Amino acid sequence: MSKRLTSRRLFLLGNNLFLLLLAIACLLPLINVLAVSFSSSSAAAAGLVKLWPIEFTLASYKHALGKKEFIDAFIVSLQRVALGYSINMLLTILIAFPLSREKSALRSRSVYAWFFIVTMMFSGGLIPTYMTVRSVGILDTMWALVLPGAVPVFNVILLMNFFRNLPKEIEEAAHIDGAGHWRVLLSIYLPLSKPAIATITLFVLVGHWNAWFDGLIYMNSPANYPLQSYLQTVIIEVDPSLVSNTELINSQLVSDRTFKAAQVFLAALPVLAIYPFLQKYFMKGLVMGSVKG
Amino acid sequence: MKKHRRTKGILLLTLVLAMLITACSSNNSTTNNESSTAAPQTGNAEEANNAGQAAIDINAKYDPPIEITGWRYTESTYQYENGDTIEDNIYTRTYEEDLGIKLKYTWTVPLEQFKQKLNVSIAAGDLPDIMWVEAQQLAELTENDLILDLTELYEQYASPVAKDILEQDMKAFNTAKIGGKLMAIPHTSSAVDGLPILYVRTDWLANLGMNEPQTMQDVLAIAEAFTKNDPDQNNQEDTFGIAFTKTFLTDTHFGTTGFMSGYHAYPTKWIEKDGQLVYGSIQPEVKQGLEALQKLYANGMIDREFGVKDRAKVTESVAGGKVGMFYGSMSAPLSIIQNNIDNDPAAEWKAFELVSVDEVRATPIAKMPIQKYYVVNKKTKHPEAIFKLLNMSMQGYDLNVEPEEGYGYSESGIATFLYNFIAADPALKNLTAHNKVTAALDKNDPSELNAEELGYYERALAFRGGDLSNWGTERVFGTPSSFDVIGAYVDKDNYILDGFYGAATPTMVERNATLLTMEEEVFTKIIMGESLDAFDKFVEDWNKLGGTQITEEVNEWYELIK
Repeated sequence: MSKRLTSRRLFLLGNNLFLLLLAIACLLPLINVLAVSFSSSSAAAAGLVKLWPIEFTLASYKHALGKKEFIDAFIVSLQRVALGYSINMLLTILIAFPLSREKSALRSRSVYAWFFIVTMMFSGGLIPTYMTVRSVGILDTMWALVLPGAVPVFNVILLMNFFRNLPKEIEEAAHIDGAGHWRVLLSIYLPLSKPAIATITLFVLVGHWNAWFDGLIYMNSPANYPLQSYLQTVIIEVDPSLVSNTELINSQLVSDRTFKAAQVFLAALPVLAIYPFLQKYFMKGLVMGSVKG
Repeated sequence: MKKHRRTKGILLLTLVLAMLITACSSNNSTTNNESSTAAPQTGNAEEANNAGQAAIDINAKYDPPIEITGWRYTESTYQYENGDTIEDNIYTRTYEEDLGIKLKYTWTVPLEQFKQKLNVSIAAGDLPDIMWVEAQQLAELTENDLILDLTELYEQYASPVAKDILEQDMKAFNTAKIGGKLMAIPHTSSAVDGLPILYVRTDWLANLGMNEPQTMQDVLAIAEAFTKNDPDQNNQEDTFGIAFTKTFLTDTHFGTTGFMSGYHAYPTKWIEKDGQLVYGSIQPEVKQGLEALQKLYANGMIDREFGVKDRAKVTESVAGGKVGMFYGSMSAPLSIIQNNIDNDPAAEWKAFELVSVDEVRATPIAKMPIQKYYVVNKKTKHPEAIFKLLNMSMQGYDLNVEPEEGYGYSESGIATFLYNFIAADPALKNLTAHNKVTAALDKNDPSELNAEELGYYERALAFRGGDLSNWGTERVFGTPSSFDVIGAYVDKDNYILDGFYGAATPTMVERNATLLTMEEEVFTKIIMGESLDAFDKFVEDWNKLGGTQITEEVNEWYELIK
């Protein structure tokens, strides 16, 4: 017995140590970026900054917050998240609810289910999607960022499974008391599904906030870029073979690392801020639906 | 309908072939004439149309104004003032007021994302009237018959000044020709600007009592001294001799191109040997260069971690005073070394010509300097509009035209010439600027300078007045400077250009990325200590994995342009 206990302890120790190392490996780059963003630009350019700011200064934050492109892109991203989140949640809930009914209640249920699931496995690919968006006429508008991904099928399935696990008796009781389908959804299912809704909220918010590729493809002017598309242009290094010599002279490629770091950190801030509030639901929500009652 | 198109295609093909055969023995102007006389016989509606419009006065303003669509990239360094944007600035306003052309961008995109956006738009068939493209897309668009043959229009409408600028370097201009037809207006610029230069930290040389490098042996000795003899006199062994990036084969800054030239080796470039083009990386000279690099690495004179460092990282080493020598292009004082000067005002660097390992002089090599092409959509209603734009933009180089304010730099010093939609640079633009700026500095008389040169002059003057933040401009356009070195290359006629400058051949498209990765891996490993036999194995593999075929295709192309 005691032997098993020590081996268990050893395992726990090793496991915790491993997880700790993993956590540090994830944290260090973030701390480094933070330290660089608070350092003087000459110290950063010389590669002296490790985990603690050198010659502490807020200059790069002032610069970032005063930069029109950054602020504009930030606002575009906020709008996108607000609009995209509303559309995603509305459609997710409205699709997941009927699909969670019994086959007797919704006759072609499996047809509908497959209709959505197919899109998880097959997609048109980049160019056809682009052409569709163009033909719809929403190129270079906010709609191009939120409509192509309006139905997050994975989230629908998550929520559908959660709905199914709620005791059917509650719904039956509500029906007997005269509640219609809308009433059941709004007054019973939604309040009971807070963990699942919170999880999906997190997925959707982070997804919209971090998406950059669609901004690049669908937007025709950098002025309309969401934050992450803008950041990508700031961070990736220009392929020097693309730049003409004249442009090389005029674009002093002085790497302003502190400024970049400040922008990266500011962009990550909203997600960092909402994570702690949703995390308790997040862990609960992921296993939901995996164990059938 | 389909059949009709096919016969037309065959007709065109035979015509192109016939032209190619005759073009082999003739120079370019006759090629152009031949194609212009031959074109109407094809019965191509568009060509006939153009001939019918011959009465167009190229200097006239469109009335009523027309709309031209286009796309372009912008760079993060573009600056704007007074509410200007890339869609609305001194250039777009002049286009509309003087030419009657309303330029509308279907999209603009930061340079970093240009390729992706370009490829998606072309694949989706979303083509505007005038497009910025690269060599690859130029070949693809031509192959798919989506862009206009400009041969005849160019002859007819391009102004003498524009032709003079574009054709200063005939080799560069010819890259825009496919099958003898001018398919694009190339954005020409200066080839010599890309030649590699050796930069050495001279205050360290002085600290160690060493002389400026004359030979490769000197460079190796300096590298050793910079590593072991504490050149920064801080009593720590924290410096190394010579800086390279992980992408050393192709990088303009911190590349090995200049070093390899010292061994008469030209990796990743195509060079002529016995009338044929051969791939530089598989020549025996490369082995000697690699051996030298291997020794440098083994003795700690190259950064231990160079294999994972990109340019930004290596620039940190320079800025932090950890390294005192590297090979770079003429812009290094501005884009790289200025960081070091900012950190350490005592630092001083000088540009040197490449040095050789033996009595044969080292010859620098550069790539054909064309990064972008302007092409015209076949469906455009105004095929001549691009020439109105071109002629206007080339006016600045016309000595008979009084220069106007604002088209180079604005009053407050913002580079407005970058807004220009259709531009091309004279072959020796920056070298000329350097010569004029130094002459003006000597005489204290800037009256001969144009707006752009005046900007360099003023910054160089500021440096001489003690402003170290303008050190870079002085060391590029003043003297001693990187352009002193470029000037020496040109005076001695001591430089060559990459022998292959066409669009990628079919096997290249398929294999080149893999081959280049292999090359980079093998060379990196050799430098880090693997046996030199790996080089012979690499040559064998390269040939086997498509290299032989690529060489054949490249030489087929070479036969055509000879």
